[in-house]
Amino acid sequence: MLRKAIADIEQKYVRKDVPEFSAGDTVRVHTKIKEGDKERIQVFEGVVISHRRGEARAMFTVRKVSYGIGVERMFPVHSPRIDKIEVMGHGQVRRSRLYYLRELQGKAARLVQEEGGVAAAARAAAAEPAPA
Amino acid sequence: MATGLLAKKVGMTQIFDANGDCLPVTVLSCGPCTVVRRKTKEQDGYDAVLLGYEVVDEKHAHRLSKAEVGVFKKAGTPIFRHLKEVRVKDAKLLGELKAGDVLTVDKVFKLAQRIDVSGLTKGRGFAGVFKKWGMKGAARDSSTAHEHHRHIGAIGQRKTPGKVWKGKHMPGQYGVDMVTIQNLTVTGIEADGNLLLVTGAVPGHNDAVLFVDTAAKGQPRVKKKQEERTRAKPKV
Repeated sequence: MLRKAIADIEQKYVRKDVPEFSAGDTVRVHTKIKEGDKERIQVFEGVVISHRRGEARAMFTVRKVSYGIGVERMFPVHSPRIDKIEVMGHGQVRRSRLYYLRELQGKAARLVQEEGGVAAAARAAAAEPAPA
Repeated sequence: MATGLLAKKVGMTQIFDANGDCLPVTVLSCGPCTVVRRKTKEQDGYDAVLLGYEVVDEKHAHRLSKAEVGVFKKAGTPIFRHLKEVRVKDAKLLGELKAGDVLTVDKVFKLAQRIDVSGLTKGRGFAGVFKKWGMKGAARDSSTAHEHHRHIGAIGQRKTPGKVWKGKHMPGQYGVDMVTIQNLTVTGIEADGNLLLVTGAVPGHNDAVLFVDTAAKGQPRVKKKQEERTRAKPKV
């Protein structure tokens, strides 16, 4: 009965505008950054290498390679500091934690992209001329 | 108003504050508590209220002594499972409180104030020095003597002092100690569910009975006062 109290509290912090995504997806995370009294948006784009579920407590890790250096950032899925999350594409993966990508470099670290992502849709639109 | 209330630990979770920071919070089911007795300086030598928490059915009255039941009878209140005396230095704090008055969490505490939480810690039984005192033990490799890895090591010096100092950290019973965690911050109050949200951890297992009190070391200074102080400082 009392555990319900915790579930109710967590429910208050769950954001409804979070898109569905999972490990292997390429995402752009728009984070709000405060500098003094100004606020700006910074985008972090990379591959989701883990997505831990759990209502308001859910976290996900995004990995990208920046100037040859691997960078990983963890975000709370429902953090108010996230402006929005864009799902750019879905990679074909066979596990939910892609920590093996840390050991791979360059071409080996790519994932085969599934159809249906934003990037794939853009590619398809560019390849095929629009129907008259 | 009394300064404290009895509570039960519901469990921990996390919330986002106004800045977007993620805070670890413990949810407490706090009160309501009923005043069973008001003690006064004239009659009892000090000012206090006796608070009752969690009503017990009348049919269990035979489990208590007549003297214990008499306390509740005199107050005209139901029988309570938990009793706690809350003592105050200044009688004005208690105001017009009398037996039978009900104190709820929103009346006693306010948002962002500091509190102390006391309770019994989880029992660990007979624990070794790793768990109980955080000792590091000996190396895991083959250079260490047989089965010495989690042992305590030396416990004294030589002929001088020729004894083991009192209070030497040794294995033994750990946990089930009355502990007070000071200066936790109230991050949420829900009057409907009698819930109190507190930053950080509190002693005991879920459902443990705790005493939540206004912080003994006082409340954080209001920012305005700090500004006044800097303004008052002469410019060099």
